[in-house]
Amino acid sequence: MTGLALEIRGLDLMLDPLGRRLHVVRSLDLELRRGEVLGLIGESGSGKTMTGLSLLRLEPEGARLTAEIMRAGEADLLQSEEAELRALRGRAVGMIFQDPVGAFNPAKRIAWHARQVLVRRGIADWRPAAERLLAEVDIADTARVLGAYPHQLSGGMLQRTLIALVLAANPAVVVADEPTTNLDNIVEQQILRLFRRLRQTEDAAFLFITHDMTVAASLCDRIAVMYAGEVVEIGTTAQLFEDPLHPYTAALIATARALEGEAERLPELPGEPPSIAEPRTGCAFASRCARRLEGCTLAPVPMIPLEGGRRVRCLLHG
Amino acid sequence: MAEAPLVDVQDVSVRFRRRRSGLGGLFGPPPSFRAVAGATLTVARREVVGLVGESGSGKTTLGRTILRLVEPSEGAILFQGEPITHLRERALRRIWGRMALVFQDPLSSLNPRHSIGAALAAPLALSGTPKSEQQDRVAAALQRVRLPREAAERFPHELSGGQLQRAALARALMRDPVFIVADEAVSKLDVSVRSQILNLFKDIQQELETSFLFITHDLHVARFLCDRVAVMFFGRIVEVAPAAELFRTPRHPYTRALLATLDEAGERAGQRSAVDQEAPGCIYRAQCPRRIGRCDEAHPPTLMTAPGHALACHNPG
Repeated sequence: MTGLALEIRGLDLMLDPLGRRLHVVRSLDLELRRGEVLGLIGESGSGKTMTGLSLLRLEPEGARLTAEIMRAGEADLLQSEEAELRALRGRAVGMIFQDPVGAFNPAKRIAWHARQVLVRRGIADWRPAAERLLAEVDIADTARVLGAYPHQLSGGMLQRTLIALVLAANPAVVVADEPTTNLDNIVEQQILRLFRRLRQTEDAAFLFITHDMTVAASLCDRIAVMYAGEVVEIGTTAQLFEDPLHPYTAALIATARALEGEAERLPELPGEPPSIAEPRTGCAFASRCARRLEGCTLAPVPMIPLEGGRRVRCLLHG
Repeated sequence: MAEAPLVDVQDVSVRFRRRRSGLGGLFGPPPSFRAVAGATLTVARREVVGLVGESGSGKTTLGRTILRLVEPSEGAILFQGEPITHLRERALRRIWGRMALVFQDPLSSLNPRHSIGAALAAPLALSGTPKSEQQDRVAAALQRVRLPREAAERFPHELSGGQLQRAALARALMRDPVFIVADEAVSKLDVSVRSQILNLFKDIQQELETSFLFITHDLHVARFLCDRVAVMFFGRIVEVAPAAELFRTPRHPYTRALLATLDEAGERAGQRSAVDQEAPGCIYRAQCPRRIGRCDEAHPPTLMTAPGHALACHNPG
């Protein structure tokens, strides 16, 4: 037993749509301690959602997933038996989606969903337990919510309900994929506040996937930045914000800061993220990088371990 | 005397009819829903006005109504001094040459089977511009949005998200509009691309002196781009002020709650609850921390509290 809530070593995910091999997650290492919140930051196509789905073993059909280690608590996520995987989903790893509607059966009331989760955990007297769970996510009117169908609840209320049900299974790791992105500003802030409180009271570790640096900074202990399928930098939130090492991290932080300050002009990164289908020989960010060295495009850049648990995939720090 | 506004929206309401449902729906007039209720707003020449609010607040409907893609139920809209409130389509065509719309999703404004060059040339062909001149103007438009000349040969699916939004903006600019409504035009872009497009909007606005109504849910984006910002809540404009002033001293309790989301330690906003549009009283009273007796009686009138600062609140902070 390592004491880690989540340990991933050397995760690779290869998709094969229509014969085009897409390497969407590349030699990814992550570890989460109990009670820790790790932010996984990236743009669309960076592989952050695929990483989250891999932890639930919900990778797309036909995908090839390989890893040296992938464990959540005591559970080995590298199982291949579908029955065993189904038993792990929810229990070892829970998932909160951007769109909570899809997580519910539209024909069943919230009470039905709560009963499924609680009875599975062996709680026969599920109703009072369900009311307690909803109260913990700041739902006052628990009886009304339990009697409602999913479409009768607002987006924020449904997201709270989903959070309560996911935590009810007591998973070692909760993957939250852009859980506030579709919500209005005020509701988003309430849900983030809820996450900040839950992390104090819950045992679970959270993998919080987002494209928004500011959201990540407000919630996470550590942040991992993904670009084109790779983690390019990982460190504590303070380390990243005070002294970002990877030029891409630095650009993301500079942009967020400029927009929050009263800048007249925003710092620009030239170009756009590369297509995951493009072959690459070296650093995926090299074509947009102002500090590119000669060696950057010659060979893959390894993850370089630094002091204090920081790691960066950049030759400037090798 | 001050210059007349380019766009003048006077007390505009937009009602959408709801389908009858249930037994109660069998009697009485068909139920309706006011997507926009008594909105008053101006956009001056060269001005960028932001329209912020949450989903369902009526921002998009108001933007489309100003372009007369939607006909208002009440009120008046003046464009360059001319009433366009109830113009018919033939007369509107003339107006539409001077206005444009940029969407959140650029793919929806570009025909997938037309090359970018053909898409940009289409509005020119309609207005009878000779072929030789069309090509020059397409090339100039591409340059203006900083797309390479070769982009004219590309098809929408061959472009990245940022390139597509540039192409959509170029298309909107083809007929030299004086007024552009941009509806969440940067919301779907990746973070590292969004700042390029935001800077581009700012440059274009300054080069061409175009007026913009910039609809966004992102308050930082509004502050970055806009001269003035209007805040909408459930169909009503509750506050309008110069951007810097609105962010420094918001006065409507809803604006304050919205701005507090930018600040982690901000005051706790009330739960959003159902709003009965037809009941008398302020639209925001159910969640308002500053509610007083008068708030239940009538929706507050919009008053100018300072130059350029309009506010609809009985008990402002």
